[in-house]
Amino acid sequence: MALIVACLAWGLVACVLLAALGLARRWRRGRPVRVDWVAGLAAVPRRYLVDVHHVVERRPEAARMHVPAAGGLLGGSVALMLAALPALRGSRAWWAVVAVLFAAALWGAVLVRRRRRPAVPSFLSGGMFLWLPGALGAYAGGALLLALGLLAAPDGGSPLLLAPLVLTVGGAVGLLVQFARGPMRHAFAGTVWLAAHARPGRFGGGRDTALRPLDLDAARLGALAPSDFAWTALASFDACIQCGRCEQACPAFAAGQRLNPKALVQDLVAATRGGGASYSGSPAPNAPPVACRGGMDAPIIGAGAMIHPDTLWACTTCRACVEECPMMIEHVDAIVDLRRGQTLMLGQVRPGAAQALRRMRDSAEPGGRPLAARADALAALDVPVLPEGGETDILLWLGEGAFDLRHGRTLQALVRLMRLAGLRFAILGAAEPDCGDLARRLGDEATFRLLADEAIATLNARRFQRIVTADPHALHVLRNEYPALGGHWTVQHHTALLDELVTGGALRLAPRDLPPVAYHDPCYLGRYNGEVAAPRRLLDAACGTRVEMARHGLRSMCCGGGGGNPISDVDGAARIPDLRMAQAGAVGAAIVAVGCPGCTAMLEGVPAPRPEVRDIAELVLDAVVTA
Amino acid sequence: MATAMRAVVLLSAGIDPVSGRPAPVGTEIRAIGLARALGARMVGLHAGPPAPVLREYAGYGLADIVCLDGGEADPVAALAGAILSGALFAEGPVELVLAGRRASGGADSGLLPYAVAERLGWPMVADVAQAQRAGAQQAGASPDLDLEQARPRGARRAARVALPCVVGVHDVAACVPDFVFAQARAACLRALPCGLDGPPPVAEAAEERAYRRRPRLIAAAAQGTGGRVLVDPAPQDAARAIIDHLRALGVLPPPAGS
Repeated sequence: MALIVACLAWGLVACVLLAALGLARRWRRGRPVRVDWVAGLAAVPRRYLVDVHHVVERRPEAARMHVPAAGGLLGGSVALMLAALPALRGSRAWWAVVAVLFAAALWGAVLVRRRRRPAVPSFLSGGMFLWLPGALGAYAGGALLLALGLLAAPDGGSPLLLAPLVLTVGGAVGLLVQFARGPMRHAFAGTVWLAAHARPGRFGGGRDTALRPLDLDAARLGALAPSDFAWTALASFDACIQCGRCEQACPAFAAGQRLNPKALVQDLVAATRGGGASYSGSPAPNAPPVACRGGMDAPIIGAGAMIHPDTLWACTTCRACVEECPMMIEHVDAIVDLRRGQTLMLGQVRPGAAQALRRMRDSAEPGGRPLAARADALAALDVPVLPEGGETDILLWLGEGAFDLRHGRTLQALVRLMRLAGLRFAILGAAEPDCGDLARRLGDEATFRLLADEAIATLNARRFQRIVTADPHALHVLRNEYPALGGHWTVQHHTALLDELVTGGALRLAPRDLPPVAYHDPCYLGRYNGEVAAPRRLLDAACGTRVEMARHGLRSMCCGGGGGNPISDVDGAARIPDLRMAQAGAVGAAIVAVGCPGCTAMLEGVPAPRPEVRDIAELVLDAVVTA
Repeated sequence: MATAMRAVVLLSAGIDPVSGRPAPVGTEIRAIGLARALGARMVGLHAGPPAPVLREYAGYGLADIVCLDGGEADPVAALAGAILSGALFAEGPVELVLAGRRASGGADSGLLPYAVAERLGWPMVADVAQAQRAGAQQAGASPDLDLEQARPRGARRAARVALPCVVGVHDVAACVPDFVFAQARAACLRALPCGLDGPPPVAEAAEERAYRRRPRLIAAAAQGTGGRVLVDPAPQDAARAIIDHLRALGVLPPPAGS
């Protein structure tokens, strides 16, 4: 009997390997990428135990479920396989070990079941998940009984053990189906994805958020069909366990804007499998129905395919989903790949976005405004313009927001503060093109490169110590995305500069008696660049009381202004900035401090009554003590 | 189904009026959209050497662009010669020429479409916002185009013209095609000899004068129907007055049954 049990475990593993081979063959139809397998596989334990666990433990109940369920299942099965060795097979102690492991797995099955009882929470999926605890429980329970039976009589088999054997086999078959066609494939796909991750720099507390440059001479640009994705990306979609954390973090989903990152990933999985509607979680809210037709080389986007185009343009590229994903899936990369396909290969962008892209190509500015007007807000402050070949300490990159009079006030405050601190700085004036952030997020890599090449050439023709900007989107592009194209400079956000000046004593602040201030982290400063401390230090020095919204820091919620969402005219049930301002109001904030022209415009667009919106530079200028 | 119309879109190496950078001209982009809406087979025609900015027109759906080498010396003769040469389409002569309505400030001229039409001896319809093939053609007769001209204050005027003809496209034409980078990348700019013999025409001695603002001719811009001031009207009356006004302008169709 003991030998039968061990052989059963080996058979199960053989079937699992066969199913994994099927998965791998599907992935290999994706775009080939170079993977450092030795380093990747060696890093898997650390990536799993440290980085994945760091995300999972934000929800302790999930971690408490996963340890016995996964640990018991894997440990118990390996122990059963080892029972093929006669020495272990005849040892009572070994069967005790097996029993303990499967008892843990059984407890895990109970916890898995509890997640969806009495009702399936909206962020979790039903479908195959509903009988997963049954299969897991049957396998673990049957194996537990077998182990107990063999613990009683290691060398003999009682016919009484036939019933648990049948139970174990039934559970094993169920688990195999869950692996080959269901969510349990995440165990294999997740391991492969962790080893071959597209952004290894994210592990070990690092940060890697820059979009990868696209070879504009390639025959197919971006992703139109599943086979256009890197094969590792296809593996990452299969790694999704549908835990729904991305859905809960997504601002577009919260506003009913036709995007659900979880549904998006599952639709991509369905597309690789030829279509069908097997997904059973919450859909993309309010999205028009699609035909659910797919295939490795069939279009993904379109009413006759798997994903409605509205879904694609609702994304603000805020990376909240990526930040929350325990499988470290790169949703934003997938969305930008899809957008690149739509934009570059088909020209299918929203009318508002098409106009902005045309203006960027023609006038180097998404609003079609004269570049010389960018510095109009600073006209009265007489900021020097750095000519070609000129030299200064700090180059102030004004960004697209400078055309907006509201952000102009922020820039005036910043320039006054830099003057007070005695800094030597200059602007580019009419030589500053758009940095291309909007074009890149909309998938128009060609226009991005046009603008980036011009900006890099302009900056390389001038000498300066560092670049300072009040626009986190420009900061991200200049600091993280231009290096791949030949632009290497020290780039600082204005809050980092001001923090440096205040800490170093060049600016003295006296905290003012203000009503409660809440800081809204810009996605491109917080999640994209990890800078959350300096703005808060400044606010603590400049304002009396500071409160935190429930979502803040790296887990902050987007204002809705990124990724071309505002110009893409995506229908929704609510506006994202309205939701964000309600969150600020809920913690009693009377002032929302911002550090981004996009956030300023979005949050100030919220109808009153709402907290006042002030840039940190303005609050610091109000608190500065002169002489 | 009749055979596809053979259309030529005149292209200029334009500049963006805001930035002064090389850029495709908006009305010429709309001309491509108009030809596409007619289901026409298109060739882009440019008098001059192949300029990089011409590739962008290909992104808007104009796959075949012909540049007339040396044509910049006498663009009108070069363009008209190419249009009449029969070399642009294997299937037959050119039936329709589309152009922008005014110069963008680059090496282009708003007079050019008129001069080309004059040279071709074809009718010229300016400020076209919409076009479709006229239905119910008699066999053998040359097909007609039903055009809609954009007039001031949003009014539209219907016109019918027999092909071949020259059409000047207005800025308000709502037919901007999608820009597809992959098409721009794959563009083929064909250079053809412009076939002009003899020296280019000598420009007539013209006097150059600085720009001087002239008094506006108010009478010429007089309101056709004038206006009415309704003080605190009933909503029904106000709506009725607006609808009547729009009907008088031709923006709205006449009431059903009239």
